[in-house]
Amino acid sequence: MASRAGLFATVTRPTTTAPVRPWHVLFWILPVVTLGWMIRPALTAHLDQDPRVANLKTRSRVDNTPMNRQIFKRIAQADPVGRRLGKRDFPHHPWSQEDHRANHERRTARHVGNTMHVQLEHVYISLDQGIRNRWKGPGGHPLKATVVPLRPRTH
Amino acid sequence: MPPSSSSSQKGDTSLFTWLNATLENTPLRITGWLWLVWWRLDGLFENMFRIGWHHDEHYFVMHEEVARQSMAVHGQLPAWNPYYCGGIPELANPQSEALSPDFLLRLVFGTEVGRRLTLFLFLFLLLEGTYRYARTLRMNPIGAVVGALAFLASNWFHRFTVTGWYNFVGGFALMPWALHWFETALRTQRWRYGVACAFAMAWIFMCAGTYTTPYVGLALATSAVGWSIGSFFRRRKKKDAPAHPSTARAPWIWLASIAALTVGLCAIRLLPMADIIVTYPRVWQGNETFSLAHVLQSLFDLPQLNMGIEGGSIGLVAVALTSLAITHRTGWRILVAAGVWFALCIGDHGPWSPHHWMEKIPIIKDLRAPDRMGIVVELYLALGLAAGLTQIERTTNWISTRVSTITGALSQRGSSQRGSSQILLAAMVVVVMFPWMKNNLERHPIDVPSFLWEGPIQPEVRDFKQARGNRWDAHIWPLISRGTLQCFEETPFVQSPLLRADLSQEEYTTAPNASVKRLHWSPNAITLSAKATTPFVVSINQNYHEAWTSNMGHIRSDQGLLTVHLPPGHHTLKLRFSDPLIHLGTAVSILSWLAIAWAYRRRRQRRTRKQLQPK
Repeated sequence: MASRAGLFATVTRPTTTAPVRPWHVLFWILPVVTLGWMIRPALTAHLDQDPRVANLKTRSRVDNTPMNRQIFKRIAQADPVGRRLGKRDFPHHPWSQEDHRANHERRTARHVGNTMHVQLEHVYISLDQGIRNRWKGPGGHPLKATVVPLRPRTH
Repeated sequence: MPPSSSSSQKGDTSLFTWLNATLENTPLRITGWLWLVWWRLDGLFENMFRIGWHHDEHYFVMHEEVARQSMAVHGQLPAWNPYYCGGIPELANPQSEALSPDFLLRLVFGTEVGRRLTLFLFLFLLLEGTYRYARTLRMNPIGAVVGALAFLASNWFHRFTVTGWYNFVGGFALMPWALHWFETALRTQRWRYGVACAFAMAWIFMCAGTYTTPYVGLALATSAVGWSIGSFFRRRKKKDAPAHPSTARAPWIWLASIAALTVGLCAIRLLPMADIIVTYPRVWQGNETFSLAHVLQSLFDLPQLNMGIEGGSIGLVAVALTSLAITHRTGWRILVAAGVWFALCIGDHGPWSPHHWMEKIPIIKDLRAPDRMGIVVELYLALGLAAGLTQIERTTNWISTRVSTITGALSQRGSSQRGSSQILLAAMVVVVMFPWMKNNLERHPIDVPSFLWEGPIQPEVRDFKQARGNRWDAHIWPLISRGTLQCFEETPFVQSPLLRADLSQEEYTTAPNASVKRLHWSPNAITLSAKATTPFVVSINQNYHEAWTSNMGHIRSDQGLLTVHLPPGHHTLKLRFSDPLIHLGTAVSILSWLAIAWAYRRRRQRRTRKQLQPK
């Protein structure tokens, strides 16, 4: 019997667990082998030819500037639409307007990626390249290079 | 494991005894769990580098990839995340999973593969943990297995997986373990179970347990209340009994000890996170309430209510069996706990609702979406189901023993009749339970990540720069060495309006005849070469944080932008993100681990000494 409780308890009681026989260890072969077989693709994913590397051969090149300009142009054309939608749906909350624009941009980026047969990251890199180098967007102006600071809406 | 039930006593060779003994065999049971999880997560280990479509999945992949890069590539603690919002704390971010034990899988196998292995691990732990907790509550193995399956079938796990909230999957998968170890500690008064419970709690917390940690804390408190009430009745029965650790206050002493140890184990995150929570309180979205019909629909999948909600998991068949738990010795506690959590689930409907009073507790008051507590109700209902089945099994055994005693005396064929009645009952249970379980699991499949995402871009894009970015595809940016300024965080971190996405270099000065050149960059440390003939200011295109330190000059905030004021001359400027709270937390966590190791060693030494003493 113990006089204290919690982590300071000094009671030791006999366990009710059945004694472990040496041959019981053999039972464990079953789950170990099963687990190994199940997660084998995960364990060897990086040992096999990395699909990322394999895809490089067939992937579009990000240093293809004419193509990047074309991608940027299509994204930039959709930018004012996204901003307009943001203002319409969240007239009094600038951060939400920005977030709404980004959501619209995300959909455009996927559409552009699919139609031009380029990876999504290629689309975003082209957009970044265009903003950084101040390529001209709609109306002959570069796209905005700043965002509305984070201020999540409260309701 | 608790002592075996009466049905599995030596010499009893009935069907239930055989089945119970088979399920009690840990390797066999674990193999069964593995196959079950494998089947539930069909296709998990195919197309390993794809991720889910939901933007929350992208958010978590981004955070994990940043933490992984900080540790694996740069050899740093993931204290600062420059890839999001222009730079925010990473380790202190309540939603970060960095340093969680399961994060080791991301470090070893990479973020995408590691996440899949983590999901597999969590669902396996969920099954075994629920089984063990049910056994601790003295339910028979058959009931415990069905209870574990019922909890796995919860629609919440489907929702959490689709949205990429593996932190929720982990937290709720570990909840039965925490409860199991807590109650085992109370029952056996062994401190090692208390330590195990603290470890489970710490894991839940480290795994971005913003909701799960307080939920599990409340569940442990509910359990402690049950134990206190139970011990009160036990004491009344035995007035002259000697002082026993299971007094009404013992569960609370254990709970306090476990809480203290948990704080120590995860101090490395807890301290900086507490600072963040105090500095930037989470945006509270107002009072949230749900109608009774909504919660019932969510839990019991009642089509007639037609609430347009994706159904829950615990069907009415299970509820009918759960009601039998009232006759089980621990069943009443489970049903009361389920009732309490159900009442919490419906939210704040006024002073009569428990949630109204829960909102007066610090920290817990900041939790939103009370309907998420439905998953705790589902755990208790699953345990109630286990208790109900245990009672059916025991009743069948009792009846068949009596019948066989009478008929056996007449015909000497007692044992075969008992066996027949048990087979009949087992068949009935299977006929009722199997279609429900199958239907439930098939209706709510756990979608494995299926979004076509083929990994990062060519390696030539390496120099870190801030981009305008897009938080809806947050996973892309750390892989292409770009930060996304457009972002969303539950914690309203301060973001500088001066951050730009069109800079030719990220560290710059506007002073005449001055230049700045980047020598080395990593998420938590930047080395620059800066020179000017007059005092000048170097601006870094990241948010200011007071934990940034430099080897010279003065660090200032320019409208939230990180800047360093330097004297004239040619300098090698070294900037480092060094949060004293992380250092303090690291020391406390290490000391806690050392204390556990020391206590364990001391007990072992004592035991060895005792064994060596001549009798």
